[in-house]
Amino acid sequence: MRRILSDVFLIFVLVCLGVGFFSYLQQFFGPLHDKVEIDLSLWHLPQYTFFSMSRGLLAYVLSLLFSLVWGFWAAKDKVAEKALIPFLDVLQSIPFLGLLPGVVLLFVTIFKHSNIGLELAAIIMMFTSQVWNMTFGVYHAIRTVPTEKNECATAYRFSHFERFRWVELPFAALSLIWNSIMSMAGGWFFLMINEAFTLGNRDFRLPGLGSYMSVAVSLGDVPSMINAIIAMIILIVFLDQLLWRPLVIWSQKLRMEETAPTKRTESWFFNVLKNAYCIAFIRSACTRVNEYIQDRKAKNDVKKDRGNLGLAISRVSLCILLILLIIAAFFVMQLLVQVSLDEWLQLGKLLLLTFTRVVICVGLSILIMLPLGLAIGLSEKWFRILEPIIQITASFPATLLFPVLVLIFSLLGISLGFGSIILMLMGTQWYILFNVMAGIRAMPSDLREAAASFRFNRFQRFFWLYIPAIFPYLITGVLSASGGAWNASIVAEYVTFKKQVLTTPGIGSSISLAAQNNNYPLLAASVLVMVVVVVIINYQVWLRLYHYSEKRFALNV
Amino acid sequence: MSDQAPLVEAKEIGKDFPSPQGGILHVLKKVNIALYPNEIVAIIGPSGCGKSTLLRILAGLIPQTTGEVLYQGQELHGLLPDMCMVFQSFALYPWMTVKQNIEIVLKAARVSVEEMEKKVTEAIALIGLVGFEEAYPREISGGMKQRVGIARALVRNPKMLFMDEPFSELDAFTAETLRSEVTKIWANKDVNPSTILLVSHDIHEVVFMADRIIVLGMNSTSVRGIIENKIPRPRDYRSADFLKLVEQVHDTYGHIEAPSAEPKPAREKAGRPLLSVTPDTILGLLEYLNRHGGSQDIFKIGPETHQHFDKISSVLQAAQLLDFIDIVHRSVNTTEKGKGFLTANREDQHQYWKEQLLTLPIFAKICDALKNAPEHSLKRSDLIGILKEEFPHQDPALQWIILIHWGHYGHVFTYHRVGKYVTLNNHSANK
Repeated sequence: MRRILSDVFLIFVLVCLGVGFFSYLQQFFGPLHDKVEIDLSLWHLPQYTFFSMSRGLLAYVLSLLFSLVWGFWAAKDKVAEKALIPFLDVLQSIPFLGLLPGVVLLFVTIFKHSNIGLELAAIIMMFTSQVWNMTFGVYHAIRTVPTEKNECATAYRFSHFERFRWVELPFAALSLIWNSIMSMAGGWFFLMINEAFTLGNRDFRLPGLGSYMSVAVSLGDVPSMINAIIAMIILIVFLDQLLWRPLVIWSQKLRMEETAPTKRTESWFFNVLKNAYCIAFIRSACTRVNEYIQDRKAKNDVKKDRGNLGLAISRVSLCILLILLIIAAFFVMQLLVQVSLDEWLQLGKLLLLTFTRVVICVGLSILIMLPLGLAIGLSEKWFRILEPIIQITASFPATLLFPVLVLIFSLLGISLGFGSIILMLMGTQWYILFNVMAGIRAMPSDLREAAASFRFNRFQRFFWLYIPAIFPYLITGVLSASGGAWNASIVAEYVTFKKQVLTTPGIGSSISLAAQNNNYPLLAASVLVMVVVVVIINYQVWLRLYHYSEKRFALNV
Repeated sequence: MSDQAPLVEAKEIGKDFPSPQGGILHVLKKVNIALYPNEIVAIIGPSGCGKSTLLRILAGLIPQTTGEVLYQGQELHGLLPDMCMVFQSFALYPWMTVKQNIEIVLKAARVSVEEMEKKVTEAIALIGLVGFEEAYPREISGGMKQRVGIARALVRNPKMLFMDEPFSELDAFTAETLRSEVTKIWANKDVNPSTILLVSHDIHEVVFMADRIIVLGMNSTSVRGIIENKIPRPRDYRSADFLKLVEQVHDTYGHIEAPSAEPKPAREKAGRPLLSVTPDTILGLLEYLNRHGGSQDIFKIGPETHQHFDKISSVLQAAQLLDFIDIVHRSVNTTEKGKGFLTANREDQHQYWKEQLLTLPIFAKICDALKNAPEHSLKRSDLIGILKEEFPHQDPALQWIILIHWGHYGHVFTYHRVGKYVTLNNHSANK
């Protein structure tokens, strides 16, 4: 009986998703309208939310494919790796708006009369805020497959594909799932700009939750704003329950440690999937297909030796990539020469301003989240209660709250110069909190017991035990937080509210303004300046600190 | 056996690895071995002697630097055909059940579903895994895991089975059981494998299993002896023949490691690398010798202290290097200095240690260099340079760690982690 109920429920969910997705496809392939009117009535909100979700999921599928291909490529070809990884470092520090105009204009020109261009542009923009950490995760995982597990695959002559499917993919899956959850959360951050923005005199708008919110904000319609926020929360909880949680449970069996798990997380939807007849049916069908394929291969008998085909493909693709890069660099150079010396100097000043904000923002995050993370991580009870709540809160895109916060700032008389720091903080604090919590949870309990037995007081425990124990984690958190803060400066230093623009000088607002005014040379220059600074800081400060801390504070002595 | 043509032959194999500090480590030098049909060959040697590397070169898993590998007379490129491997860490895939772990190697070999089912069932029955088919590796014991590793190899019906320290992570009883099971399977001439190559550091294990025992030496990087084992099977660990052969392997093993009869004058100490042994371990050895009246048979120390011979051997070498013991034929004796070191109080122990350290050319050299340096201090990189010069064939990173550890214990010099420099301790400077 329970199994049949599971089937009924599952089919119901699938039908709903199918209908919703069909309606999204209609929008996707529909004709392009000059101005899309967003209806603020509650009745339309579910559809808008579903559209945004579809974009997010399509972008995620794209991210998944990209991260697997790129991560695999970089991990396998030592020569390509030398170009691919630094390239990835640069790409991930390009701020959101730096790519937006180019991508949008390109696709809108290709698809002149249908929505496809704009939809693709929105999906690709979301992809750019999801994909990088996933790619690094895959790359790192494939490179760290234990030697003997790899040698075993070689000794038993697994083909490249077999090695990927049986060894590398399962090994990477765990980190891939965690990174996916983070990425999906990050993908919502720019939702409002993504679905509604102006380039020069053209107004681009797509029906979705983000555009709903931005219309509500520009009209100052507070009830609609609240509706949008609630819809976002429902969307996040929905994805968490139906997608991520079951995946996390399922991934438990991929763990490398060969000991039994200590605690089990529960997921009702995972149980539904496990019980349903239709899933069992699909699984047995898959087995049949696999067996059929295997028998066919057995008949063809000999394994083809493709020799160096893979390497050839890798090198040719690398060449194409480098050529594209040179062409892109050429175009960017053409834009950059139009920027005057005065403007460059001005950019330098703005950079310093934003830099100060980023430093304060990261400092504040540490100040608040380090003690909080320690307190939560150290208490079994609070960790159990708060962890899922924090996870969902962190997935919520802080940008949706910006208008509300700006309203509060104006009531309190706080200028955006300082207020923007708070706005940036909203997005970056979580990285620190999560890493501190993870670090303290990973600390061996005997160290804590030793500290207790030597009667360290609170102060001594904090400086002698907790800080060293979590230091590498803290650095990882700070690395992500500072990158996030730079990127958030674009929306934090330039906020529109009730048709008026609030802005404060900084490199972020400079990027926003340049994009708004179609000033592409200035946009290119601002983006370049920001990318260079972020990459230099990452390499010279954070990565060094990270390597140092890994050596100095490693717990596996 | 040598009337048959060899299956695999390694000729003049050499292997170098780049050392992390720059420079090259010679792991293997001019090694020749051959594997014939119907035999079990064991490679034995202390850890770090390159025995696993040699196995991997023969298997075609890693390329050799010099020399060549022949398979049935032909030069081999890539993987050795007809060979399956059993790994020290089992190398099972944790996301696959026992059965799936065995199945995939047949899938990779393009075997039809029907045949695969049949072979897997047979292998599971043969190696005693019935009932565990659907278990995941994390749910079964180490012994069971290695059974899966062996079943996975046998299911491919290979002519040659390569085993890399297959039983070293198992408890003694399980290891003993698996040894005799593998030997029985091999002894059945109707089925493969016909040849087993075993890498091990356990003397009893190799004497129990192997027809030929190849002994590799530490720092000598080449084959030091090949011992034929003609004891009829099944072998008994306690039979007189067995124990005699164990002794013989010990002798060959020991012959390399601890031959010197006279305490060596300082000049001869030149070029002898530092050993990764702590002062406390040497004190432990002296304490042990003291309990046995200051002298003991070299081959009794291992079994009585439950240590592997390679470990004992490096402790003995270190103690001998510092003149705390001398070794006459097979008898290990405490020297006067050793007695003094053992019985002194804590502070004087450091002093004894220091005096002996300064008899080593490398310490003398470094102290001189420090004395002549401004403020008696030198950078880490300078000292590593001296180490490289003194021990060109050793890993400077490891030598550095031992140098600092030993020097620190003797209050000779101090390493400052922040700033990465070494300073001479005051009283050493005045001396």
